[in-house]
Amino acid sequence: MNKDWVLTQDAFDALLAWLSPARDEAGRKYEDIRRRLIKIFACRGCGEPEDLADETINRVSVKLKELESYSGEPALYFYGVANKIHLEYLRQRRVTMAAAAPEPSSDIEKEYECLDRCMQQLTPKNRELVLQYYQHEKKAKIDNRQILAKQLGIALNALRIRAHRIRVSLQECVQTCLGEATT
Amino acid sequence: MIVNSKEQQTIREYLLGGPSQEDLSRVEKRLLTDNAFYEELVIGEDELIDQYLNDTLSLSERQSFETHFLAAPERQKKLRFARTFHKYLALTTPSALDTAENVPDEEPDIAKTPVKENFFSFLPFTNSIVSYSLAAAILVAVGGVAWVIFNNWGAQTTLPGTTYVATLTPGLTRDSGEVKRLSLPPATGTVQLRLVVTSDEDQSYRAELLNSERTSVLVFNDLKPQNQNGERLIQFAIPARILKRDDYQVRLSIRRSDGSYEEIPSYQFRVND
Repeated sequence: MNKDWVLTQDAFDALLAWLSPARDEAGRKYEDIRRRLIKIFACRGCGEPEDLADETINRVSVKLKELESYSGEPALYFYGVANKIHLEYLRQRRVTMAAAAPEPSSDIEKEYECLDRCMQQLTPKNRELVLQYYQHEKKAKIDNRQILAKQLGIALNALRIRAHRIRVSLQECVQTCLGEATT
Repeated sequence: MIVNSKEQQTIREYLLGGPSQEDLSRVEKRLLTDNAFYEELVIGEDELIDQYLNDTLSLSERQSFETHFLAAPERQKKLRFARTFHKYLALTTPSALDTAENVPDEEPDIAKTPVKENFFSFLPFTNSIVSYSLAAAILVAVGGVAWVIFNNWGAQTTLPGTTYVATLTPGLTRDSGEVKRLSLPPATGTVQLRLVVTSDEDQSYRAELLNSERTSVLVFNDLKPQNQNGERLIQFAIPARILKRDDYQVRLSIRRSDGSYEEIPSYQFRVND
């Protein structure tokens, strides 16, 4: 896999212009495509999904001049290139099993402290919602969620999405907190 | 675009590495172009992780989860966060949701609030230097008290109320019907666990208490075995209030000279009503 080429500012600007004439919109599209390429490589079991996504973007940038006549959805063009990158990756990779190493107990404690702090930063209503949603188990959990959705006057799936967004924000907050703790 | 239950199942198979080549391409193209579908996949990841930690995946799903799903570092991070989150949930009881009817349908509040902000906002000083100094003094004092409590916790510590002593032997499983059952009287303040150790090694041990969701509830480090009446015992005390009606496992590990831990057969017990 050729990783020598790096994305220059000019090439990046040209890529954004290809994605959308509006710079903000182009930036959003770029972030969306990159995030989703990472997810796709991760779903295919690749150990370095960020590197592979960046390599895909680099390859597309190199071909921009050839793409002037391309009229399809840009994300799908990235997908075609990602497939080729993945094949190259499969040919070159050394098989490694990704066993999650046990974390030192001090790290676990730190993460717990961060989570506790992040929980306190939620609004009381969101804190209650996320605690209620994820508490209990099995049958009790299903019943509890139905009651919760009814109380909130929303469908079960809307509750599921809302609870998950809070959970994602908690995880991001914890990552930030852990980053601050180590710097 | 709304994702239906059949598509949710396809996403689940995709996450576990199972779909056909045709499905794979269809799913991935949609991932790139459909926001709702992408969000559904991210939700599916967390739900799989929860099911893994709750031990509700089938054997084949569990194998796929461990060999395929966890290959990506970001998912290992998610798993780690989920463990902490489960632990938090196990130790936290939400109050009645009597004010939640009007939860706004908005982005979660945390993303907009940097962690550093408001950290010492409870202090009555506008001068941040004074606030931080006072906070530091409080932290030192609290930390000192916590250190004293922590270092006295374990074998000797008892809380108000009676102490319930339970002796556990290794290797009993839930399926064998031999699980030690604890019926804690209401006045119990402390549960003293005595683990019979078959190993004769003198290194220090670590004990981790896990609930039935495999969520870590408590961890004890640097435990030393003691000889009593011809048995080698590891002992530590648990506040009775954290033990709910549930199945528990005590995972015991020996600390090796290189600092690593080697797991040895675990202990099971059940807390009855």
